[in-house]
Amino acid sequence: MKPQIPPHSDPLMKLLDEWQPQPEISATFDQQLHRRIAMAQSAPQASRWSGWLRAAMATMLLLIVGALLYFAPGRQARRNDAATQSAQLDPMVRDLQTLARDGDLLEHLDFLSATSNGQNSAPQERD
Amino acid sequence: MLDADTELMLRFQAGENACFDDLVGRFRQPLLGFVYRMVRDAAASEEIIQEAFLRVYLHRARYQPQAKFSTWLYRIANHLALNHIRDHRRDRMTESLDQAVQSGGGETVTREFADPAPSAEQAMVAQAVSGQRATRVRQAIEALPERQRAAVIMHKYQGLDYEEIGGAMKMSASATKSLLFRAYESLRGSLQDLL
Repeated sequence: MKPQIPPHSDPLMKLLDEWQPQPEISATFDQQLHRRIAMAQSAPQASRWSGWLRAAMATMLLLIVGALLYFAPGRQARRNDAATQSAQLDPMVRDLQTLARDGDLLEHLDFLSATSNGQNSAPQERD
Repeated sequence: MLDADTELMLRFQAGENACFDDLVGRFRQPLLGFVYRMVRDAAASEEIIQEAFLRVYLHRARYQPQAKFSTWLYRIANHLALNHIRDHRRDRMTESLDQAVQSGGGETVTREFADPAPSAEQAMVAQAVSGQRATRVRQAIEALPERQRAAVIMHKYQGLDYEEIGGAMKMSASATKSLLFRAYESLRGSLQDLL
């Protein structure tokens, strides 16, 4: 069905005409509007300054929090503990590295001894 | 050819600030009729209209003359009015519940919501004479879904055409016609006994 909007002569449209609230614009409307416009125009300037101020304060806060975290007594103690632990671990690590090197050396020694045995036996065969 | 309001807006856009005052003078009363029918609160309606004009002032550079100035203005006002209705829906429900409790709960009290009534006596006389039917019409329109209500008010009471209503509500003219058809059919059903 094609939508047909009722014409003005339709009884429904005449009935709808009976609702005619007539609120009037207040006398101070224009004055208030111009005041709002003036406020809105000055607002960007103020908000720009407050924006800078907020950014500076946020940076400052971040720096303070960072410094507090970095120099916190607990953290300092943990850092000292970690340094001590690594100092204690250092000889152990060095020993392990030495052992590993020795293991390599031993493997090569086997090879060298095998080779040296061969070298020693060859002249004997020639003899 | 551009209509007079659009020309005024373009001149305002070009820097003639006096044209803005002309536009405010032309549109504040019709816009109040529209917004008041939407929100039913005289003070809030003025606030909304001021906000609409403020946005026109601040965002004048964004106006494109493809749309009529009235369409652009009604779109802003409609958007603000719908936001107001959504924000205050809870308040209205609480208010109507309070009224029901005060009247004993059995009788439904119909109160013109913040109507500009000079005195209670005058309002009662006016309502006794011709207010009953008008109240029924108002209630029937208020009961429509928001978009249908806005479309009916713009079409019936503001005299906007389908193109303008469609422009204000971001929909095509044919969709607007369809929306209006459904709205009027709904009103015909709810006001059947008065026809």
